[in-house]
Amino acid sequence: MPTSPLPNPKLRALSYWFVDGLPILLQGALSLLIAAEILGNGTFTHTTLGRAVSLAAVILYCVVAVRQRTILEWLKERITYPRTGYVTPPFLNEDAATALNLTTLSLNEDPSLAAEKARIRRQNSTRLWLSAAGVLAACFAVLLISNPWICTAAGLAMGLATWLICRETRQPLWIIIAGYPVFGFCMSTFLAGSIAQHDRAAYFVGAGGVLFILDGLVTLGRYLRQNPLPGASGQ
Amino acid sequence: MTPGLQELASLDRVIHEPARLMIVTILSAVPEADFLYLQRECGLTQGNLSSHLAKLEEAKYVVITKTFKGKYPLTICSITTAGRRAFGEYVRTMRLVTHGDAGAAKSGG
Repeated sequence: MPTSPLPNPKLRALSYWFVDGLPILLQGALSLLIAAEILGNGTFTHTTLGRAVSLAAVILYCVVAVRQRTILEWLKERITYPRTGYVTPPFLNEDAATALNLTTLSLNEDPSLAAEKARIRRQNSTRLWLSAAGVLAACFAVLLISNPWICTAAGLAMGLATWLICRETRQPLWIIIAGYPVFGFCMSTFLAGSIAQHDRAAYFVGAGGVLFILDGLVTLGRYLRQNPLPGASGQ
Repeated sequence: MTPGLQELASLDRVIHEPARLMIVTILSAVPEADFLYLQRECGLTQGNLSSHLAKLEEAKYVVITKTFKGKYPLTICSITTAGRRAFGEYVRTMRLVTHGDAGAAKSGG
């Protein structure tokens, strides 16, 4: 039986895209590439190696970001579909806001459900705006404010933003939600003095990348353990 | 029998069967899904799912196509317009009878 506790088939199909941890792994890789680019362009910009790393990171980021869907499909064809089957993610045919609605097509005209739908859409939109504001505020704060404790505050903001983003679409990313505040605190305590202020954002993005990769690996490991390849499965 | 209750007699029996209702509910929410996904979501055996899909296909509510995703063979199922309409009608009738829902009566599936 499926692992997702979500009752709505549309939401379940949406969360199924994340069930194997592969999209999170890829996001982690992209975050690491951004961090490498920022670091290469900042502290190490005067060295040939720094410039080379920065350029390579930009090129690789562009390739992976553009081909993201193809890469994920390629991986899922080998890992996910043979184990737990294929379903077209609802967001490929409609906008994500519609995919998150708790109503089904046949009930769309019902007035009480239409009101519920509007309420959920408002809630989703508020949540996404709050998350974006939190992430942006955290990034600017670590760049502009020299007080080392700003890193802890930024870590808390990033953790909260992650929780807000993922709480309805998939299992919460606890490693990231808890990891960001811990990283922020460690940075405030041990690293803030030794890192140039303009590099702090890169460290934050890089830490996010590592946390995403960790979460993706844990999810993938759990998924593979729970869903071994079926033997000879004729249909 | 009250006029509202009599509506139940007109329920589509192809969709009314619980396993087929599960299948149609899933397929009405996604563009397409494969056999294995449906099997896991519905908790049905292969043979059971096959026979229910065959009945839905026979009623022209579902289209089944065999294809490949890379090397992996897929049995893709998707709901047809007729299937969507029948499911909408089924939901409308159930709401009308169980809730006396005026909104359902107006929407007409």
